[in-house]
Amino acid sequence: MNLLIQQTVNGLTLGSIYCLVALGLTLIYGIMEVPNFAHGHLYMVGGYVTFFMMTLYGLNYWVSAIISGIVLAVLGILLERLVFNPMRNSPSSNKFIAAVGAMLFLEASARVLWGSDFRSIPAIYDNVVVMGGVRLTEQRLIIIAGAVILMVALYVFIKHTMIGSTIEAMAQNRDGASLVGIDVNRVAMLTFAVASILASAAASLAGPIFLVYPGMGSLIIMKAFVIIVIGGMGSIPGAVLGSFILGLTESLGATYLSSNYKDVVAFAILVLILSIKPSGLFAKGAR
Amino acid sequence: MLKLSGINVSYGSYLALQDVNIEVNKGEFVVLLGANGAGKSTLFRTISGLLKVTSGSVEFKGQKTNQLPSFKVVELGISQCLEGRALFSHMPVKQNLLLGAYVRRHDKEGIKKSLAMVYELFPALKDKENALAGSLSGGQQQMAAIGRALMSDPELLLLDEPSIGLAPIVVQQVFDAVKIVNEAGKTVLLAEQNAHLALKVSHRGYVLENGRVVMEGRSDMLAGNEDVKKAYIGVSD
Ligand SMILES: Nc1ncnc2c1ncn2[C@@H]1O[C@H](COP(=O)(O)OP(=O)(O)O)[C@@H](O)[C@H]1O
Ligand SMILES: [Mg+2]
Repeated sequence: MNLLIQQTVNGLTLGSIYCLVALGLTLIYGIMEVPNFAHGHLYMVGGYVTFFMMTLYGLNYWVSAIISGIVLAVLGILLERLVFNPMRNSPSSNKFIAAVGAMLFLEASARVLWGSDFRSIPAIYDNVVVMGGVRLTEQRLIIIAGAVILMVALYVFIKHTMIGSTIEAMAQNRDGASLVGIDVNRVAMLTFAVASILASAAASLAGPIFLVYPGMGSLIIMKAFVIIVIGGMGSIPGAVLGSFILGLTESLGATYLSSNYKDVVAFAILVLILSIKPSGLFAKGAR
Repeated sequence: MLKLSGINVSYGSYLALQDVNIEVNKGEFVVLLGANGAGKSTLFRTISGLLKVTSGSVEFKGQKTNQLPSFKVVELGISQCLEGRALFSHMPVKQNLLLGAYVRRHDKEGIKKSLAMVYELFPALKDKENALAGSLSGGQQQMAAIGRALMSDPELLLLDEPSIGLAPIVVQQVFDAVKIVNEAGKTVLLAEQNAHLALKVSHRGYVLENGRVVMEGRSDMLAGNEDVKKAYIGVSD
């Protein structure tokens, strides 16, 4: 029983990280209609920025995470301006190639600049909390709480602010958005900024438990893709639900089946859900 | 107020508009007649900055606008209700309307007034304000789209085939509403295939064929013209 609870909490931790990455991926997909293959790599860079802020400059964990968010917002905007925006009117295949190019560029740059070593963001919340017989590190609770806070903040931003709702408007109807006077270029930049901040937050939260290394982006982007396909491309609730489904099945699957199958689980769920609902749990725009 | 001078617009190598000259004066209600594929939507999209001219110019209140992005054109006072409506279909009607006022989002009082005006014009929207725009009937969606276009309090309203797919009685309702809007001081440019009603409510008209203006004149004159009757009204006497 304790093992079940323990693994459920681990699944929620994993789901929280996935969720922050997948939300950004789905937001960008919603307005660009092209997947940002480099999104996992923004997550990776976010992890490194936080790591170096703490280790090189001796900054506090939270300050480092905030700086990382700011740096990533700028990087996201640059990615939009330099890669996605110039491709705006090109065929989808060209956009795909550009996005993959950005991804390879970021990974190679990370290897050159920072090497291929695995690093770990110094853990400051590694006390163990015992709750109902279950032992948890504080960091896991921080991950879950942090993700929930960011999800609520995102929800309020999109549903209850005029600026935030422009993201949704553009996702639902680009021409309609242009003709109510929304500057679609600004919305594109805003969306990349928000998505990159979420990715960086995910990495800062995950860093003390999972590791920071150049390949971490490729691993998470695969998961995030599975999630947004499961959830319905472009759907926000779909991304949230998909993340927790994946996090929990991976964690419980690893315990009760075999940890060798952990990464296969994701694809098994994908096949299962798509064979029942081919357009994903929520079709695009159904929020 | 709006002046199109010698505009050409192309899609790749296909020239969709050729040397089009159109003028709309303040307070007028002008109709642009044309069969399917004549270039009406192309013209409207060009005015709104969604498409760029290859030559010629678009001027609004004496200012050249053909280089401006769409949102600037809206800020200057041109609001378009697109063919196909382009609503935010997964948002409530009210939010569609509020987003229509995006360019004057800080003018809370003005937005309130415009919203009340739109609800008065289309009472059905008031009843459905919390329904998702995509769930409305065709006629109500058209009303929502026109309402949204009015929320920016534009000086010039462009309506691209608002009658498409609507029952005749609903078309009548929509046109009556547009006439009220025009009489309240807004300049209107309306694109239509169906000339019968459009020529009744408008002051002047242009006829577009294969990307060229082939006829223009007062609406009552156009309504009496044999060619117009044959091509766009479907009756001839
Ligand atoms: N995106 C496009 N790409 C290529 N050709 C187009 C496009 N949109 C419209 N056209 C062509 O331009 C012409 C005018 O179309 P349009 O402006 O939509 O006419 P209307 O609104 O009067 O029905 C048509 O021949 C149409 O096929
Ligand atoms: Mg048309």
